[in-house]
Amino acid sequence: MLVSIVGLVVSLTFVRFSAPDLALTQLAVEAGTILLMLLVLYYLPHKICTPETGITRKLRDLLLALGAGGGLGWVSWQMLGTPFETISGYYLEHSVPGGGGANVVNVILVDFRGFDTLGEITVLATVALAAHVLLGGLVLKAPERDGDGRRWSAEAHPLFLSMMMRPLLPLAITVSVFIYLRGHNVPGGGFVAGLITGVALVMQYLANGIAFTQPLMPRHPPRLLALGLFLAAGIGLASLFYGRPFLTSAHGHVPLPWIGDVELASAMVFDLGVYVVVVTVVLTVLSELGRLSLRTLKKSEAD
Amino acid sequence: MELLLALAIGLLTTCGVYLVLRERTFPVILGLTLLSYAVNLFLFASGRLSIDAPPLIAAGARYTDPLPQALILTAIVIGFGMTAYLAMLALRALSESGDDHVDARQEDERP
Amino acid sequence: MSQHAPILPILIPLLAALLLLLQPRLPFQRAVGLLASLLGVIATAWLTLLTDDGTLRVYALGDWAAPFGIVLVVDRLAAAMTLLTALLGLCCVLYASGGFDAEGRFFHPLFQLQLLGLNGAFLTGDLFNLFVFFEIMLLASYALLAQTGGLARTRAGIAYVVLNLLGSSLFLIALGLLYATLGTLNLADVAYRLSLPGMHHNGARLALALLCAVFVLKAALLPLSFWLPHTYAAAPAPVAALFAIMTKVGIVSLLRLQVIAIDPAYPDLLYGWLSTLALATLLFAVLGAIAAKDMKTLSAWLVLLSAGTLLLVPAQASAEISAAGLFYLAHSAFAGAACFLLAELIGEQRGAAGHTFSTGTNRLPAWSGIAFIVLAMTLAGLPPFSGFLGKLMLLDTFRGVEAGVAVWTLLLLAAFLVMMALARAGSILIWENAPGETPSPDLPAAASGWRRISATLCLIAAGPLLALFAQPVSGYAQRTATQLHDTRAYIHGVLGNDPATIQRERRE
Repeated sequence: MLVSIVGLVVSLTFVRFSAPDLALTQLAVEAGTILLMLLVLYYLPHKICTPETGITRKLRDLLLALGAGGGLGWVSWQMLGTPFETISGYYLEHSVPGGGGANVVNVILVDFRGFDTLGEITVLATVALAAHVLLGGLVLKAPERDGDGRRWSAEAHPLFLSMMMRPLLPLAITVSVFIYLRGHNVPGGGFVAGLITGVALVMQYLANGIAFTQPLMPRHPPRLLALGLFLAAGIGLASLFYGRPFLTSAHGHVPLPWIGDVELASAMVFDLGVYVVVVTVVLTVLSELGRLSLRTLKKSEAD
Repeated sequence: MELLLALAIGLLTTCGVYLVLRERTFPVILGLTLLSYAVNLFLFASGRLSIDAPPLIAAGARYTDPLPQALILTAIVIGFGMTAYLAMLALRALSESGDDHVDARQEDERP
Repeated sequence: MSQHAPILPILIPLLAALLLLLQPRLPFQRAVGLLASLLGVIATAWLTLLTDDGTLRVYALGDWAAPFGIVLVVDRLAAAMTLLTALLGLCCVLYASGGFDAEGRFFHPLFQLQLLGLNGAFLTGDLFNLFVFFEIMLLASYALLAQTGGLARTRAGIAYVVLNLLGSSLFLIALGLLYATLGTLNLADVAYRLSLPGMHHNGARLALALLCAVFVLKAALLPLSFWLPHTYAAAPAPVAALFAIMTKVGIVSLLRLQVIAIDPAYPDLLYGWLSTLALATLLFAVLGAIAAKDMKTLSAWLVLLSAGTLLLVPAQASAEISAAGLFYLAHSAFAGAACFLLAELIGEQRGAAGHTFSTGTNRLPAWSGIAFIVLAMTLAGLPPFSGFLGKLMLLDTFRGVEAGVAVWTLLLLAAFLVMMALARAGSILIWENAPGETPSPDLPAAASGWRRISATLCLIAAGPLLALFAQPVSGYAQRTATQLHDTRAYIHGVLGNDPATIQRERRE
């Protein structure tokens, strides 16, 4: 769990140095990584093997590592000390008039450099497909005892945890909707919102067990992935019909009855696509890992 | 402040590289995670540091450099995807071989 | 419509992948996969024709001009590379439709995603965007590699993934350093900033050197090339065939970076060591090819061999050598891919012995023997096929170069040794079969199916065809290289006529 502490410190660093978006994302990703690591660690063999490597190899590795670390640290220290000229002033100036949002980082992500983000969610979608490819049909022997030979706790799902978690789900979803909606102007956005929803669903699974959660899972995750990617790419396609290049955004004020004047940007649809992809990916990876344990259970009962 | 950040980047890289060079998959995954923290901090440092200047447009405010932040967000997400993939691959290797070593030396010796 | 042509090689595979996720039934998957690949060939051929008028086409995504937004920059080189990818992709999809796609899950969508990554990497003019497309390409390739199980494959997969993740970290560090010194991520803008007086920091130099390191890792230059033979030999045939172009991505990116940004600013950065290491890679690959025990491993070593040969090209940064290199690149992509496909077909026809170099049980049909001989002659560089012409052009252009003697000696030696390795392989694979013994009934000579045969034959036919149309193809390569080396036109084409007016701000 050392890693998660490091992650927390990193995210605090981002807060300190004026990067609220980064801090939020780093926190959400941290939660996702820890859950993933827990699930994976559950299956990996516990026993620490006898020292496999000689002292010379360790020394060599240590020297290599020190060289790399020292080098990068020195370079970054040098870098921090020298002034430079950058193009980023343009983004600060054009964010509100050109992109329709006050959160410059979010506008860069969904508008100025939206193509990068499209590529990024394509990577995530590929991870989900890879999860099917890699884990489909896999059966693993889950260890029954921990490293010192103690049995794992027999009580599958602590009552307290599952009681706590059920009301937490709607709350988490509300929070994620809120974060998604405000993303264009203040820190937030589709990615963080997606991760919060995804992690909340994963917590349900941890607290209540796979049998409870499985029926609630989407039947065809690949279709959801396609939907999310299509939302992001489709809104980009729409600009082709107006004779503008792919992914050109538009924004304007729409007066809605009762609610009043709402500012809409086509980039928000793009962000919604990001949200859908992220939720689906987290759920797919998880449910594949979960099915792994169901299959393992069935196999051990059959034996 | 700058020196502290540079030291942190160096330390994270050292730990990351050392762990990546281990033989079993779990340390390697941890090492890559640490390394990606170091890389993200480095990217962040490339925009220089400023305090109390978030890139949110408001009247008369100072702003930090927004571009590296957007790049890191993309890099974090891609790094997360890669970590997840590697973890799943490790599970797959485990189910096929029964251990979780990175290289295949033992197998080569007994055909 | 033609203004949107540059985005098509990226949009077609993306939309096809989305469509393929909706309906998992096999006939649908095959139809959409083939149709999308065919559309890809048409679109890229159109793009190649369009760009042959010599103008640089810049497509600003989101309508944000460079260097602020991401632009696709299409010159002859980028268009021709996407066409090459599309042709290879079509053949591989056709081959996979002959049965392989039923084994793994999501073969077709992943394959389209891989094409998307390749095309994006060739087209983009932004270095961070190049990183994103590299990741798409790599992740799709990891998943394709894991399509069918097996310990060897999974192990090869882990080593490959870890190494490439380290490469990605290095890529990001290089980009951070580049941004910290030059304040931009667009390749043309990087080149422009480097051309200004007083911009030659050590930091920028280090950043460019790191970028080169990342590209030569993808291209498998010697100290970083141990992963390639294992990984490629372990990959399923149609996947390995597409991988034949993945090393080329590294080479083309390196060539572009070298010509446009590095050579004008730091002419000594790549000089010397890259040629030496490329020759060492060549030697290493030849030794591996001789020692290979089966046809697929031999094919993998031959891919490494062509990578070693091609890496000689960026080291020189001269238009003539680039032109010869581009011809050789097209030849080696087709021949390398054909080698993997034919290895599997012959392996199945020989029965139990497979494609290992040991006595087989079944007699081969005549066509596969002939196909093997044509392919071997193409690969070994014997006249009259494309390998011979490619080598000849390279040798010819290397005459006046300083290290020319070493290059000549090693290239000729390599050609001779490869010929020997292929002759040995051919004599065992084709003739050393014992048909007199009972052809085991449980392993009949597998019927290969017209899809797989025609895909393989198409790729093999590329060798003679390239030789037949050598005149127009090498003329095109010549024009491509001339355009590539016109650095000024590239910078002004992307940034406009007056890059000095680009808005910048100073930060401490």
